[in-house]
Amino acid sequence: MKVPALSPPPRHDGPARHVPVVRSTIVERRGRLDYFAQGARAARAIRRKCHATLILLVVAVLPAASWAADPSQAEQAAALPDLSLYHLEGEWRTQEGTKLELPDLAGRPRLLSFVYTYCEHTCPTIVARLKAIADHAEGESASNLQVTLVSLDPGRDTPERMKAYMAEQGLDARDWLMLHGDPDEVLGFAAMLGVRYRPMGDSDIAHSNMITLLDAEGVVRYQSKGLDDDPQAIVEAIEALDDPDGA
Amino acid sequence: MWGVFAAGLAAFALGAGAVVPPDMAPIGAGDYTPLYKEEGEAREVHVEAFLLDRLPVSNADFAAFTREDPRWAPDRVKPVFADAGYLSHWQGHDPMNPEDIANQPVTNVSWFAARAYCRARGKRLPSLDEWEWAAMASEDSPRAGDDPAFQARVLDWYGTPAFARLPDVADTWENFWGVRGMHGATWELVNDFNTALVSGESRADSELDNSLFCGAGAAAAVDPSDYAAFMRYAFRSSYSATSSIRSLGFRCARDLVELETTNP
Repeated sequence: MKVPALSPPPRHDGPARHVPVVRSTIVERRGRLDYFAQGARAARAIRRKCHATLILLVVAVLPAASWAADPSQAEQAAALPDLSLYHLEGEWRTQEGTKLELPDLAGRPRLLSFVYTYCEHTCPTIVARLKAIADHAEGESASNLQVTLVSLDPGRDTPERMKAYMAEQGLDARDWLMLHGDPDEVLGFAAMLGVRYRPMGDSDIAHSNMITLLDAEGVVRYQSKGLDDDPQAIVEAIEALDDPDGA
Repeated sequence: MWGVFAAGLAAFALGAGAVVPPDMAPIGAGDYTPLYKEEGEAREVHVEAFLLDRLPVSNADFAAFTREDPRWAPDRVKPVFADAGYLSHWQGHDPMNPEDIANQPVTNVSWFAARAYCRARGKRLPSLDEWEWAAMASEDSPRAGDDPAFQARVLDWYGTPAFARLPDVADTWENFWGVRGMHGATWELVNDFNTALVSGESRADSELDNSLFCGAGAAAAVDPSDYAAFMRYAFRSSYSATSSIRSLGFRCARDLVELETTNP
């Protein structure tokens, strides 16, 4: 679907929050990321307990059942393509405080940007653009898309702060995810995507205005380098994910 | 001699009981002027004391690492961590043979691989500020950045063809801190290389593109006459975390918070 021309970059008072909330279409198939975003570890723990009980009952018959049903991080990573960014090791937290590792993000296509919640310059523009792109893309991949904002300021962007930011911006937790990581992990993730950033004084961070599209396995399918790039190209890249030959 | 003096000074500051690993040199705290600074901020950046490898990581060092962790072997590394040139100079050579390339600085390693090596040794890559501060030392001064003779010598090496045989890691001059090969062997990776902000258009780098970088307009060169620093800055801007470059090596660092200021 054609993206209408985006409005000029918002001013510092943040009109981005007035942009309508992303798609109303919720696809049940989107499950995997929601599962992780809402408590993957807890869910796994429960599942492991169930498995443990089952194993006690059938340990002599089918000991491998639980392994197959609950693959380790290493197994998950091994199943990913060599070009998947999700091979990067490290532990992250969502805006809910839930721990996750990058292989946990597999399963849904993803728009990824690096921002920080106190940013008053281009970050509101980036978020507004991400909203517009997510709103206008059509098809199965678009319905399953999750937008992910990685904080460049983990010192101030605690999970609590990220959650409040998402509420301020009207970002639905089903379709949006924020990630908080150790500064060195953030550096590695940013470097992997070619994102450059540098603290400027005590409160600002100069950073690349880059938007990256990852497919469901974490492979880069498109990168928009700057705000002058046509967002329609990202929409088309998302829709192209539905075409196996074009992806 | 000055290196021994610096090490002694640092060891004194460390106090009894503190042990500096023999393969690392204590770098005293100090202030240096980075090439780029934000508007309105002090020209100088304070660098805390830290430990830095006395020598660049050699081919033999790195070969031992790839045997310990085969995920980083040339035939196993994932393309998301290193490009096709990764350790390509090992082809036809024995990286463990001292008669061959064992003692030369390892190059053609990506930033990811260098980070993994340092982590496996309980170390880390030095920050850009740490590296620049340690590299400012001549044989007899920790702060030779303003010395025209020192600058000329550094630039002279920058003008040396990159395809010349690399010197063995120990065959380079030792600076004030007891560190060898900061200039004259290879360029070296730093942890925060991606803090160098440039636009895609090299001619526009003096005025960074605000459509590409949030806040980029505030970055400005402090000392445009420091041509060597410009070259390093431009070089860091040119590679990615997966780049494997024949003239780019690395060494590792460690924190040393116990060491107080020894900056003369």
